[in-house]
Amino acid sequence: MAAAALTEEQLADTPAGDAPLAAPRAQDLAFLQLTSGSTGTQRGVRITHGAVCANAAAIHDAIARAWGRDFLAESERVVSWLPLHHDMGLVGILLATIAGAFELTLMPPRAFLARPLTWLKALSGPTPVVSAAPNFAYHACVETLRDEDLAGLDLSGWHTALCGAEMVRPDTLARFAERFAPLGFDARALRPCYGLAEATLAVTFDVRDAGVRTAPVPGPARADVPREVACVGAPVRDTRVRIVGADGRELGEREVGRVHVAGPALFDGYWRDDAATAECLADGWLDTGDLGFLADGELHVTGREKDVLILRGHNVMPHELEWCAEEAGGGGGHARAGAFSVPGGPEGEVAVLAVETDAPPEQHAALTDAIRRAVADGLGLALHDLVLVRRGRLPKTTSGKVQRRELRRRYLAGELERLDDGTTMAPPR
Amino acid sequence: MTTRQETLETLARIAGVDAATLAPEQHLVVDLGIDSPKALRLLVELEDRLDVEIEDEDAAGLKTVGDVLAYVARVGG
Repeated sequence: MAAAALTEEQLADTPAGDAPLAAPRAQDLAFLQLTSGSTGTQRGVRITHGAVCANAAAIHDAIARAWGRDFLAESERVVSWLPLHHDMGLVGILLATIAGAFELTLMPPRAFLARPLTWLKALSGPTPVVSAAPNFAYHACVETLRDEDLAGLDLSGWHTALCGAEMVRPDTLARFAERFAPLGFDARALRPCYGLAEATLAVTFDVRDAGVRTAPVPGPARADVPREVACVGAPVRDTRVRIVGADGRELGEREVGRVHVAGPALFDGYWRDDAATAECLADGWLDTGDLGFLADGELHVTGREKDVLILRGHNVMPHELEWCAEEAGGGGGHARAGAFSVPGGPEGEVAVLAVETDAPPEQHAALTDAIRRAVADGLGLALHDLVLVRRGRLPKTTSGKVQRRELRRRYLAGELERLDDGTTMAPPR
Repeated sequence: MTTRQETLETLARIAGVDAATLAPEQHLVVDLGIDSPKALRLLVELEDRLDVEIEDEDAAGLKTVGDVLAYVARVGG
């Protein structure tokens, strides 16, 4: 392992030296990407120099193809507020920009979140420009900007507006395109994409230059799957995608299954966690834990089987929410809570928490209030729904672990016996 | 418009509710759905409209509508 952690003091004591840095080999570790969560069980995704180079080149290639160019020139301009500790900001913006020696305008995430207009102002002008953001950012622009804010903006140079890092909502992007068309924004600039830290970043990218396209989800209608999803494009250069059924066999076109990815940008394992690595990486294929289907070679993501909630482009592990419920006294000594997400809201998914309780009915209101406040104060999140059930009613494995996927299915099918009457739903946003 | 009215209007607009429905005991996140990105917009708008500067440490203590009203009354009076 060619990596070491240094404190600032140690770094200050390190002689600068004249020795040139050794050129890294492709298989050397470039960085560890922490995948999720603010606490405890974070996983370090091992990304090699070879993977970074492969993915940066694939991103350049995809942007150029989408834009109808043979290659990107050094004069390309990139604008971003994405956090640089996040894979989309680190790889998609910072490293890909360095690799291409493009011009980069960076602003702190806070600047965008506080004033979405800052982002559009930085993009404004006739010079070609690339930018990327999760779905919620496009929603925030539509929701918060007033007409008088927009005077003088020119979005005609923005030829690549990538949308990824969370579920892509076609309705959000359609509203964005409509709202900003008078400022010169071209709807074809909106390019949904799909990726994950375990593949360095980019896996698929819509290069058709046809605007956001949707496809109906094959199979019978299900409460836990949207009817129609956005096309997130074809695999980027040198990357392959296949869809695998529950029996491990590869599925055909328009059949929903697990999304698997192979290619030169895959991670080479989780940091000091061989068991977790073995769960998702085998024979050169990464099991993403996401569900989707291929149509005409292009990927459509329909949902997720792994236990993670993606809220505002930020990964939240279910146990973070469940612990808040425990701390608020919901589960007592043997806290049993299950968290999952369902489609909805501007971010594409919203959080639901189900908690077992023995408390008498007259205490339920105080209990739900305490849990909601614990989640709000601990994670800054508003729960979409908080469901109280009688002790023992959450589906569990034989070893007593809450089965979150089965819980989610029952919730959406209306099969959960809730103790409350459902009036604890969050106010509509 | 008074500071209090101005604050209520801003809160209402960011939460997407009618200002008349706001009550001091309402929790910003739980009752009004003001999650962290919205909270940031709220602070910046209050700073702009009331010409005050809200320190991060102070902002972290603002949990309810009443907290916000009391705070702006103190700093922006």
